[in-house]
Amino acid sequence: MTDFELETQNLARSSHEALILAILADGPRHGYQLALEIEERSRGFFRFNHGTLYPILHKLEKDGMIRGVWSDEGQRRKRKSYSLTAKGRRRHADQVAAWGTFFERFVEIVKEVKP
Amino acid sequence: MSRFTGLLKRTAARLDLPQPVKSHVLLEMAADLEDMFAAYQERGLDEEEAARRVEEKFDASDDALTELTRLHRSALRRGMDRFSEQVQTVWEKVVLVLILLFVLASVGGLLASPTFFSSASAFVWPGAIVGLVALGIFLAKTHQLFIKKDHGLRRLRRGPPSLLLLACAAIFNGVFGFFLGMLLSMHLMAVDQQRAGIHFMSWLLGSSATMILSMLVAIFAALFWFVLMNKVKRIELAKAAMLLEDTP
Repeated sequence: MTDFELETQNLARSSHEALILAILADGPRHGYQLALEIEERSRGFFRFNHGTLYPILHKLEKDGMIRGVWSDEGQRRKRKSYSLTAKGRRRHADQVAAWGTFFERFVEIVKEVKP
Repeated sequence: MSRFTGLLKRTAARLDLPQPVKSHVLLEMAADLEDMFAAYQERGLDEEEAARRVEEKFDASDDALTELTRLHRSALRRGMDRFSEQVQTVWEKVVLVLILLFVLASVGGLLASPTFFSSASAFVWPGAIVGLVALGIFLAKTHQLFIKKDHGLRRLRRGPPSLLLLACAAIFNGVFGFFLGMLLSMHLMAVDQQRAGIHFMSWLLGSSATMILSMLVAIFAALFWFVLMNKVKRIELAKAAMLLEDTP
């Protein structure tokens, strides 16, 4: 039983969150890696601007879904990488189920052939 | 000096965030821009094309920056940061130090007297332990920031926030000890009415000593936090300024 509900009124935002959590489920990533990987894995279908990415990442971090950690790699190489928290993993699982249902219902309707 | 200084400056000007959050966001963006630039170059793009692609990819819209600003407007954090920004001029710092010296001078002798701890209630010991922990954190952090000069962003803010928690714990300890002592002495006064005055005075003496120590610990823990956070903020501002410095 889950209290997660897909925000169908704001699909773009919901899909961005789902994509980020899905990529992070494979392991920690930096912001730029997330943007590039989403673009590559979707074969260019989803294109992320960094401007869009940061508010989503920071919101997920504030909500405790992901954890941002700074790493020191020399004086001018401070980088922040993100990883999924336990809460984020649960949210990811919920989203997989919710998006599955969403597409199932959606296809049912759009594919319906009227006599 | 970053290749994307111009872009970062423009973004910084549009980002209405309090420090140090703004510096953190800019540092994260700067690192991502450089990494993305390197990633494009590894894919065979020349320097100019890679930089153009990165700038195109970055394109932070007003909506996105507004959303970012809204996200980071934590009332408590903003209040704390603004407080440490308030006292910046030399004369304000001098007044602050004078007040603290006065407090120390007025209670220092009292604390050093052998009867102080023996006459205080049992709650004086948790207060003293909290004070020692706060002093330990302050010394360790001072060593890190001022002597070792370890200014890694990951560790920069680790420690000082717990000083505020310790200050609250000291106040709670003092107030709780005060009222618990009052309750116990009331019971004693009810049972042993002939010595009610003695019980009352004993409670008053013990609780006053505990409260003095608790308040002193709270004041100094808050002062330690203030000193450390001012240093942390200066370091963060310097890092952000270095990032945004003009290209020759």
